[in-house]
Amino acid sequence: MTADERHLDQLARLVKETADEEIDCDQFLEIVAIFLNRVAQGLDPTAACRALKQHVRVCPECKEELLAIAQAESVDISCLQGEI
Amino acid sequence: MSGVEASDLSNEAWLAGLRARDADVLDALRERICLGLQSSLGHRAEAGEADLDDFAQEAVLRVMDKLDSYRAEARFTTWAMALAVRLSLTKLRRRSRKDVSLDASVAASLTDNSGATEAATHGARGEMFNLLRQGVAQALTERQRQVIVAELDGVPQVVLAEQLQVSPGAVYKTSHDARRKLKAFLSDAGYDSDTVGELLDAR
Repeated sequence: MTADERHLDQLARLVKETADEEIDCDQFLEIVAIFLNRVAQGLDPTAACRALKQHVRVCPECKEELLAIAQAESVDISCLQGEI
Repeated sequence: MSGVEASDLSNEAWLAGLRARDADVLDALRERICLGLQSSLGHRAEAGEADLDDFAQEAVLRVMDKLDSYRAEARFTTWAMALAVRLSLTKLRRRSRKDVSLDASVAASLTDNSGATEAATHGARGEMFNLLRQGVAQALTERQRQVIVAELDGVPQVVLAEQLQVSPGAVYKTSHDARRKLKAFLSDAGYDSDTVGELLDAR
């Protein structure tokens, strides 16, 4: 893949995952701890959890934070593979 | 070593201890955050041990500032760690990229039609890419193009926000608005999300 195609591929993936309503990075920070605690307990995702998963698909910085917090708190999020 | 074991504290005990500014509880929080940061960020070349100690110290102050916004649905330590990771990564991102001199090749990839012929050789996927280029050129404002290019170039949101003199939230909203416009542009041309996904996965 050329550099041009890589950038266009990346943009197309972001556009594909875009939702009409999205939480922003501050809202992500408000709910990420609740989200990880629910994942750790194997609880069903709430609407807020689904919004968080959508957010990290379009926000690489929050995805990086989610992975780091999970690592710091020893929460196994491998069950989210393919969803984030 | 503090006199309080972090693992022994309930959410309520953390809150009570921190509100009372109990030195042992404050020490336990700093130690807990420090260990978490070492585990999650310690492998990074740009994050030395002294940095992580400094971040942990600052994170304790941030947690104290935000104590009233803690919601009991989350474990207190996970909530505190989230604040600490946000603070630490924001500092590391600022350090990694102090300005937003953008890679011109990224902007060219998204707007330069001279690449269209090349992309067109890849069939339907190339056609979609050409359409995306058109969308970037025709549907977005200058500010939206700038934010999308910066995003794809890996410019941290906080650095871009400072350069544009807006909040990171405003940068995110600009990006979201741009992505929505591009999604509508593709959809109007017959490329809904499922079609885009199929073409991206068909490589």
